[in-house]
Amino acid sequence: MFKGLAVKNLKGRPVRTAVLVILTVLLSVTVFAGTVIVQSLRSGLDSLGSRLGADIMVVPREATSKKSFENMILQGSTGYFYMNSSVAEKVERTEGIGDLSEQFFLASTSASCCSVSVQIIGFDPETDFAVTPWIKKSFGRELEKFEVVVGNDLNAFVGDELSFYGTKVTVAAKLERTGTSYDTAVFANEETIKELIRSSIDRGMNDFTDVDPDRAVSCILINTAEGYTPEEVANDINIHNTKVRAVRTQELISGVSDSLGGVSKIVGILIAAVWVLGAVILLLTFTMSSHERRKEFAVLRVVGASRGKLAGIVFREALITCLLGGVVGIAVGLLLLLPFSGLIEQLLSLPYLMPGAGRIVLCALAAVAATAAAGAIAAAISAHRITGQDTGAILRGDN
Amino acid sequence: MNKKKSARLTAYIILLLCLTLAMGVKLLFHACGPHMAHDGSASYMNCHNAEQTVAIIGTCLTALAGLLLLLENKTVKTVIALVTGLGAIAAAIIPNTVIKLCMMTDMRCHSVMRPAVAVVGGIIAICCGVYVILINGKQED
Repeated sequence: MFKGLAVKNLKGRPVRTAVLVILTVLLSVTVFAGTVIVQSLRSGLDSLGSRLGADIMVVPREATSKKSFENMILQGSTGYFYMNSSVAEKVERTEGIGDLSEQFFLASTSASCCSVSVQIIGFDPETDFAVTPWIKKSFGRELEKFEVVVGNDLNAFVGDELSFYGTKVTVAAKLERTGTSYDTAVFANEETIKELIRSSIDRGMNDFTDVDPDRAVSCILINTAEGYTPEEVANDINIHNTKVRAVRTQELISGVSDSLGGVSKIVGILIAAVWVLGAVILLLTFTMSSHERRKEFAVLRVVGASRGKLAGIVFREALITCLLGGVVGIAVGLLLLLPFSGLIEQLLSLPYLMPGAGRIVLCALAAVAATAAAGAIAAAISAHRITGQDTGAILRGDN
Repeated sequence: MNKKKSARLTAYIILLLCLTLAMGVKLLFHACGPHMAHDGSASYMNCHNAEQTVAIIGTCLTALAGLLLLLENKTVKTVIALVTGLGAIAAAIIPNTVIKLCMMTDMRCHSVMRPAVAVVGGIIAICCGVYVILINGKQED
């Protein structure tokens, strides 16, 4: 007799149902999108840590004072700075160095398809330990002259020909997305980058000041030897080499980590606030609705519905509303998060890497569960009120 | 709400979405601006062509969606709705699939225009499908 009554009740009051569904959609979107954004920021930070791949980075002192180095590493802005390789040789003699590799930076003024500056990073395949391991994931063999590997955010594909300073290079591989500045960079081996540097000088587009282009180095990556801490080695380099600055990668990441902590906290507070607000509004709506419908429930009691049955009807109504709102909320959240991830990354200005499908599904389930829990709490309280009322008094109009 | 009313409401939504596509691609989710060269001359990049194409398709779709509200013949309306849906899918795949966008995917054409056109185009296509089902379904008494 009371089968399907909850659905009929919801259909019978379309405006109230629509308002409740919209509220639960909002609740679900906030919980889902907030959780995925925080997860993406954490993945981005982890990825940044692993992609930097070295304990210490040594750069010319003026590079760190201009903040250009930090911006290049963390925000993907383009730039270049050079030091003489004799300085690098002096650094190499520092005690406690395990692995050491040199990198060369070059900022293109234009790529072939459009006039946008691209960061080109050159590395020495013989000594490199930071770039090669993850280039190997996308590209089986070693890079040859005039071959480049492009970051995931570049709209170039394997086999495409790019032109930098008039020199044509071929895209040999495209890297997996890292959520870091490396997504917008182009990687080339030492031979190719030196050729590109020469082309840029020929066109008068690069300033090497007093550094010989053939003996130029932009950055030295160092992994410390066993028994030495990165702090000790970095301090040692900084004390004995006034022209360079050794920066611990952990020191670089700590700034991002602090920002991430702040964003995570704000998002967490926002999720909690919206959840509590949603639960309170649901509770008020269900309570007011139950109060309005007290005569309807009293009649149901008279025709044989038990108190448990009434509580069940209210509970089912809440559950249907919350599940529907939760699922629609997830769909809306996916429609915002997946296509607009690039825009979110730009707005946050932090390393951002969307989690895998499995983790997104988990976040979606958690959001639906949180929405259903809010509805269940609200329904349980209003069901308790309904079942506690005196049927006779309601029908007589005493209440 | 009966199916006839629902179909009319859906047609209004389609019209509104087509208008959003046509005007939004020029005003809200437009492509990258002109590139200023060192000599001061301005030039448009590839994504500008994609923007123009989507705007033209969006305008045509708006006109078609308008016909859904004016015409009475069910068969003609079904054909128009299907054409509008297919046109919306075509508009959705124009940025980068048909017309290549800029080099960096963090540029406006990739991060704003492409996803917005895909989302609006996708929703128009879904609404057209719903409209066809509604006008061809059995009428409730």
